[in-house]
Amino acid sequence: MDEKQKRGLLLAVAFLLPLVFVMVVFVSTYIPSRTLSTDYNFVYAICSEGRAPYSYYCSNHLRNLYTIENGRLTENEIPADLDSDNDGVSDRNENYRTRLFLHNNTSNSSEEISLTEAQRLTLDDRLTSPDGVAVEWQYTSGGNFFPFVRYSSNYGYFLTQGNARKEIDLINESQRSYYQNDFMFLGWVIPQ
Amino acid sequence: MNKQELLAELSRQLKDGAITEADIQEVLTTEASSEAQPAGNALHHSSLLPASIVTRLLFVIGAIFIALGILYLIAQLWDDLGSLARIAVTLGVGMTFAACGSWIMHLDQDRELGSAFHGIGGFIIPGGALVTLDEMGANFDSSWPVTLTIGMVFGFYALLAWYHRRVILSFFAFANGTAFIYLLMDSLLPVIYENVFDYLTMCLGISYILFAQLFRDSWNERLVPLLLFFGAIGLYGAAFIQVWDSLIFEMLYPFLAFGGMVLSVSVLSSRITLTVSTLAVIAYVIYFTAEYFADSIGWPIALILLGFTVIGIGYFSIRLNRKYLQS
Repeated sequence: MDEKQKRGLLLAVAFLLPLVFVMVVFVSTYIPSRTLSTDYNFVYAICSEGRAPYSYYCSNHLRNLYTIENGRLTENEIPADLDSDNDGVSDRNENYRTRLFLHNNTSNSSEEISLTEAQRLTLDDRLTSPDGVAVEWQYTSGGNFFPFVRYSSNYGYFLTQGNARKEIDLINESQRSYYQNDFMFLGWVIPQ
Repeated sequence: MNKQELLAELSRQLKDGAITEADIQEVLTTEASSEAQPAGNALHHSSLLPASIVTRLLFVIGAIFIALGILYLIAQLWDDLGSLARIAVTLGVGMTFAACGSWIMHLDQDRELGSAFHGIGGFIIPGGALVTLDEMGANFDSSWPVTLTIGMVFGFYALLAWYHRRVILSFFAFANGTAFIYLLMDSLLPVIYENVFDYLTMCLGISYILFAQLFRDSWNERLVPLLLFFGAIGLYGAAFIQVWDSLIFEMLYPFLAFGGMVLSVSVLSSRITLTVSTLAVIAYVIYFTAEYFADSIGWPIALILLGFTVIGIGYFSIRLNRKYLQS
């Protein structure tokens, strides 16, 4: 290899090294995320109305209110004296308003449904869908890197399978800040 | 080599950019001062500070004043300006300076003056391009518009550097190219993944060092110290961040740092990388002592041992410098 070829090789490596790294990271993260999907839609509840969307104990109320029994959504009676967030105000007087949504994974959009409509659906409340996908809250503050400081972060609900993850657009997502407690995953919709 | 051949060769080298007018000016100045001194004349001012350096310094100071003045003026008028006027006073002014710089370089009458114009333009154009993007109503929900804009600025300066073969243009190509790579990563990833930007910084550090090797004895020679410094800082700094969280990096880092010292004297012949890699070794020793020995032997003893170790590493580094790099 003569001097000119060596310099050519050095130039190619110097120029391509960062680009190849970016492409490798892209291929190993973006493509699995794009191809991640599930055949099963899911139902979720939010309880942000009447309270700030980042109410810490709103999800306790949701857990008390909704259960899945034999594949059907059941709305439970909340005891009159139950105070799930221990703030001295009973849950009945907290002014919580819950809403139910059916999330379509194909269009990545949510549609509000009534309790009656939700109760007609067969739900599987396991964490993973029958085809192995989960709905998870993730918060990543990996924005800071040497030698720069970047205060951005990434958070929200994701469809996950192994290392692959795909962000899902839920109702009220933009107001949720980085708390996740106004949300309750109820179950995967099992086709009849 | 006769006079004609000598002039033809000089002309060719000037055209290639291997020699600049500043180099010739420097030779003439040195010759003039060396002739003047034996004659017993009073010490000529130019022998202390060559005219070309004074000129260059004045151009740089002037360029900084002009750039600051323009920025201050734009800031004062900003709220009263419409979209077109905002684009005109940012991107328009930057492009005008760049065009003047290129024109002066093309005329080849005073290339340093051309660099000063390009220096002003280079600081204004990226901001101007982003102002243009904003005024055109680009959607900033995604970082793609900014990425593509900075990518275009990088392409612009890469082409200018290739055409004019001037260091100032290479500098802006590197600055915008580096920003473009980070932005490209940010745009391509669907979500932020921890540490990938640190790994990218390491890749860029290696890339800078390779470019520095490539630029030795070329028209980009003056970029070499800058590239070596930022390359080594990027590589060792980003790798050191990983040491805290990753066992693999914790084990590899000392080899990387000592390897850097060896490469600094054997391949790179660079005091800059030797200094940075020495600091990397010292940083690792401090980390290692604090992590594994401070609790067992106590901080006072650990600090004494640490002090001796740091002195030893420093002495070793100075010995390497004297033995291999002093010449």
